[in-house]
Amino acid sequence: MKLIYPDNISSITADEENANYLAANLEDDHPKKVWKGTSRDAVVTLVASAGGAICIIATNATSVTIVLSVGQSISWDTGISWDTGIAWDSSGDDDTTETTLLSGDIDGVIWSEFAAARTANFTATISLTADAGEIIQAGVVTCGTLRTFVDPIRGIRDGLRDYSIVRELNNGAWYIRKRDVVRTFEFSILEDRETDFYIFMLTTAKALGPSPIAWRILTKNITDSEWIVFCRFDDIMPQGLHEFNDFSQIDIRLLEVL
Amino acid sequence: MLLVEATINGTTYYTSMEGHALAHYWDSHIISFDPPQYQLSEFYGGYVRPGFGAVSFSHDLFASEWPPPINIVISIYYTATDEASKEFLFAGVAHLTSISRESIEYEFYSPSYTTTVADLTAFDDTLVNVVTWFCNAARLNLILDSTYSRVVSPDVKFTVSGDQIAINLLSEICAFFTHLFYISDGTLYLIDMLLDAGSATITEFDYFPSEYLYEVPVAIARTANYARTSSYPYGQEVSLATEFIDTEAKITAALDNIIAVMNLAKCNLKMPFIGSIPTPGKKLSWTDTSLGQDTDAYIRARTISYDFENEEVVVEGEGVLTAS
Repeated sequence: MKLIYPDNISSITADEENANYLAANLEDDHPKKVWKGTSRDAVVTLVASAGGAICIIATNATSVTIVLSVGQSISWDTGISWDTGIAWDSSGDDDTTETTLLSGDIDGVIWSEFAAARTANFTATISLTADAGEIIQAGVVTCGTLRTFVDPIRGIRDGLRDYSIVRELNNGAWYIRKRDVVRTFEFSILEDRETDFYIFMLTTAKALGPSPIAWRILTKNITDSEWIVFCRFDDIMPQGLHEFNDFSQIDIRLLEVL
Repeated sequence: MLLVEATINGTTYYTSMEGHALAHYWDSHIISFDPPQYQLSEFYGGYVRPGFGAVSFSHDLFASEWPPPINIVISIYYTATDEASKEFLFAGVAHLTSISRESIEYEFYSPSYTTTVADLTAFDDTLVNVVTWFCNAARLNLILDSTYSRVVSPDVKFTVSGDQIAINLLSEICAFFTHLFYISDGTLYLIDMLLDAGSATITEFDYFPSEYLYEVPVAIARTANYARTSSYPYGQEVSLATEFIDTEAKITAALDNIIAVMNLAKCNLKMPFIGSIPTPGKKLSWTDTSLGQDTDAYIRARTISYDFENEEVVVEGEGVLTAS
C-alpha cells in the first residue's frame, strides 16, 4: 500500500485554462472541482519542494508524459548584463529528467513514481492529452512524499456510498434523483511496530486528520488503477491493535471524496 | 439543482449544495438551506410574500473574505439541466447570525419596500390602473405584468386614511378583489384568484403522497357596512377593515368571491423538482388513485415552499376534488 503525504506542491499552472475552471482547482482537494483546458491537450507545470510520486485524479486524459527537471541557478557578476538581442537558451537546463508515459484506459487516474525521491525543489511538466473531440480536464494533482506500507491483509471490503435521493411517489413508483456515488474501503494492515506502524499512525494519520490524500491500496501483486483512489478516513480514524510483540494491526476505513 | 450566487465584497461566488460543474463550477459551500417560500398574505389574495430562513455556508466560502461579512447579496436559481436554463427564484440579503466551528450561518431577508402612500391619497380607477400607479418608478419601481388579472378589472374607489406602507396597502386592495400578486426579478405579477395563471396536468409519477385539507368554512364575510353569508352557518367570520369600492353591489360581489375562494378544498401537493417549477396562480390538475376511489383534483398554486435539501416543492392552494 502506498500513499502520497505530505503534498509538497508550491505552485501549479497550466498553459491553457477555462476562465471558470482554473488550474488552481487542481490543488483544492475536490476532484469534482476540475481544471479544464481549452483543447484536447495541455501542459500542467508544478513546482514541488520534494517528493517521490505524482498522482492525478479525475482526469479524462488518455495519455500523459511527465518530465521532471531542476533548473540551473545562475547569477551575474556586478555590472554584467545581456547585450541587446541576446537571450538565454534554456534547452540544456535540466540536470536530470524522468519521463513517464501512460496511455490507454487509465480509469481517470495517473500514478507516477520517481526513480529516486527528490529532496530539493524540482519542476514537473505534465503533458496531458484527451481523446479527440474532448476538452482536457483533471480534478486533483498531488505530488509529495511517497510512503510505502505493506499491502492489506485478505478480506478488503470494497463498497459504495450513495448520496442519491430516493422517495416513493403517489402511485408507489420511485422518484430517484441520482447524485454522486462514492467508493468506500475497509481493510487492515499488519505492520512492524517500530517505524512503519508509527509512521502510519503518527507521522501520517495523526498529522493528516480528515483531509483526503491519494492512495494506492494494493501495490504488490495487483497494480490495477482501480486501487488508486483519492480518499479520507471515514468517520473513525485508524485503529491500532498491539497483539504481537513486534507487529501491530491497523484497521483503516476510507471514503472517496468528491 | 439549487444554484446560489453570493456576492461578497463585490466578488460573485457560485455555490450549491453538492457541487455542479456547469458553465461555472458551483462549489458545494452550502451546508444547509431552510426552504424558502412564497407565502400568500390572506387565503383570498394579496401579496405572495417571499419568506426565508437560514442558510449555512462552509468556511471555505470565506477563505479569501475572512472574517465573513455582515451581509451578502444572494440570488437563488434552480435548473434541472444546465446553467443557461436556470430559473430565477429569489433574491435577497443574507445577514450574518453566527460563526461556529462547523459553519457560518446567515439569515436570509427578502427585498424590503419602504415606500409609503400619503394620507388622503384618493383612488378612483380600475384595479389594474391602481396597481400600475403603485408600480411607478417613484413608488415600488416595478414592471407590471397583468396578463392573468381579471378580464374586466374591478373598480377601486377609496381614500387613504393615514400614511400607509405601499406594499401592504396594495396587498389589502388586491386581496379585497381576490387578486394576488408576487414579485420576481423586478416584475410584479398581478393574478386573478378566480383564473388560472397557466396550467399543467401532472401524473402520479410527478408527485409524492400528499394531503387534502379543509379549513374551517367561512360563514360570513363582512365589511363595516355590508355582509354576505355562505351555506355554512357554523363557520368562521371574516372581517375586512376597509371597503375599497363605494357601491353595495360591487362590495357584495367582492365578498362573494372571497367566500367562494375560502370555502374550496385545500391541498398540500408535494412534488419533486422536475421540469419547470410552478409559480403562484398556476393551475395543477391530476388524478389520485391512492384514495378510497380514484379522484380528479386541481388546485391553483398559492403558497410554494422549495425544500432544496429533500428535492421537494410543496405547492399549497385551493381547488376542487371530484370522482374520476
